[in-house]
Amino acid sequence: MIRFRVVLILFTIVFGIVVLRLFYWQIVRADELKELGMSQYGKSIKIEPLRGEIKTSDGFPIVANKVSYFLYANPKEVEDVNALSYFLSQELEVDEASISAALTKELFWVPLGRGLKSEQKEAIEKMKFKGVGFEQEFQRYYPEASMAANLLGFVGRDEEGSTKGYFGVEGYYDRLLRGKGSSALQINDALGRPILARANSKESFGADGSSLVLNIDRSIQYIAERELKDGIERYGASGGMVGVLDPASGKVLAMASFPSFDPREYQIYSDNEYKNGFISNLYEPGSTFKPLVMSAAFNENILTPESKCPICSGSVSVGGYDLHTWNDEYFPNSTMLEVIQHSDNTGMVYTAQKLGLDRMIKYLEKFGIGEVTGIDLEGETAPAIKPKNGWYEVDLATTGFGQGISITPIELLTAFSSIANKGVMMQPQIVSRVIDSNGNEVDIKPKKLGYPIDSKTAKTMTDVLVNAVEKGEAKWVKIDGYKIAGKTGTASIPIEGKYDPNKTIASFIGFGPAENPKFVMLVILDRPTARIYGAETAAPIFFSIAQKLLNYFEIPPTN
Amino acid sequence: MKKPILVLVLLFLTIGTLIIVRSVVSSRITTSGLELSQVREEANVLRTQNALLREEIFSLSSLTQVSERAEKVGFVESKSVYAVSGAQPIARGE
Repeated sequence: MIRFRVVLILFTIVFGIVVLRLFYWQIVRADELKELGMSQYGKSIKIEPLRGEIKTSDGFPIVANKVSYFLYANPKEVEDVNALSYFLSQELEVDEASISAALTKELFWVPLGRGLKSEQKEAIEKMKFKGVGFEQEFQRYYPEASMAANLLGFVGRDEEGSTKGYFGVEGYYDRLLRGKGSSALQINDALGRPILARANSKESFGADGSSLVLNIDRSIQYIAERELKDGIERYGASGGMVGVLDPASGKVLAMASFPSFDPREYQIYSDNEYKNGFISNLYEPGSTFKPLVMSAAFNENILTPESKCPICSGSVSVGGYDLHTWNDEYFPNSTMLEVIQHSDNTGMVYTAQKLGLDRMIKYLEKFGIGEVTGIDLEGETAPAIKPKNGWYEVDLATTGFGQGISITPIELLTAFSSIANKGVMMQPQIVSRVIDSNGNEVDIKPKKLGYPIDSKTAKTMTDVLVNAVEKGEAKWVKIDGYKIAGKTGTASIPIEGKYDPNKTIASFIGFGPAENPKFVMLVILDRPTARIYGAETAAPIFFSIAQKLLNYFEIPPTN
Repeated sequence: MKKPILVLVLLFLTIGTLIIVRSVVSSRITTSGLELSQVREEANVLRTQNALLREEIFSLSSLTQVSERAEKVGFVESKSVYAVSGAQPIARGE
């Protein structure tokens, strides 16, 4: 009996061990073994989706994809390391020693080069080197070179080695552009030849990225960039910006910023050059801000274009500071129409004081100052307006002529465009349409941001700005036969609590034709050296672009 | 005794036929796999060629290229634009 029991216990133990062992292989290490088994007849391959294209409003792909090749080698199979190293160093223009070092490593796979052109691939293939292989991939391609580079951003790689958009449109719409990657099982026959590839699971089905159609008009962008570049050189400025909007819809027709960068070689540039200054640079707008303050006073019926300025006969003392006009010329009893025409700071101090702090803050908020516009670009900034108790008497006065307040160019252009659009402020929009990989299109509708002033005020202010162009400092560059509304600006640059006496930011803001505006534009020159005033630097660039836009839009002169 | 032999013969014939059918089907699947692979390769080559041609078209039709070429062949920017407008009527006839 005892013998039977011993045998039974032994059998039970052995059986239990077998069951446990089976559990270990079948359940605990099942996934690992499954992968090991699969690797014997195939391999899982990661399929990177094709990144969507970015097109200008005429359908031209300003950012496309081009075929390139990734070169790798299996050092164990390479027969003549020296010959291969020498040839590749000549073909790829890289150091021979670094290729040679990679090829002598005790590895089965080493990367040798990325972004090879098809001609380079063919040249290497012709040599029939053993142990060398290629993998096809797609790279960003810029048919218009560095046009709108700050606006578009660039594509780099993330921590996992996948493509990722940075800055501008590439950064903002990265999720849409990049699509969804997938993986597939490549099954091979006994000789290692590929037979079939199948998706691993439901989740592994991917989709190529969506393409974007921009509101950016390629011709206008080209004109704006060319004129701005010429202007920067001519006036010895350290940089410059141009933004052109359609005031009725908020469509951004062009946006240029210099210095810029080459997106094909983004690695060699600094962060400052990637930045789109038009949406991220803070500056004191100076006189280009006056139309907003004057509009507020008109809208509140505190002042009219005919109202007289009683304090315009000399400099004004506010809170212990002496406030002057830009050229120390004074026009006693000038009207508000003339205050804008002469860009009279004392007249604007009077306007700001008549408006008062509460209404000033109310209108700044109505014009969207202190808030981001929500433009569809990565990197927009906007400092908040100071709280009411943080305002000194002099702050109210200087805000009247655009000093002591920091904004971005896009904030100013968006607010100003409401004057051109009957008092309606539209959100600036870069992208007009998204097209997914199946061809489905989604339109992005224009969005109203608010109604800072009424249409009557907008009309009055337009007339005041037309007068400023016709009779103001920039009249020497105005376009004959067209009514353009605009305002010059020469802003001082704050440095360590003071204003730099020699350096300025020169600008011009305006729209045309005044009676039915097709564009609203802001031109900014950073620290021009040849001449420092907006009327002498930014205004000529503005009108040069405006003339070309009027021709481009086929708008005939009205008189 | 004859019946079991007949059944066995039929059985072996069926097995034989099934083996042949299976071999034929398997070989066909294997061949179509290779064909599919070839077709895919061809499609890839065409896709690559298409991408290269697109690249060339974009490069040649870019404004930067066009303006450079235009300048080279002697085109100049027109400085004056003429607008043709209709004569104002003397009387509107209202």
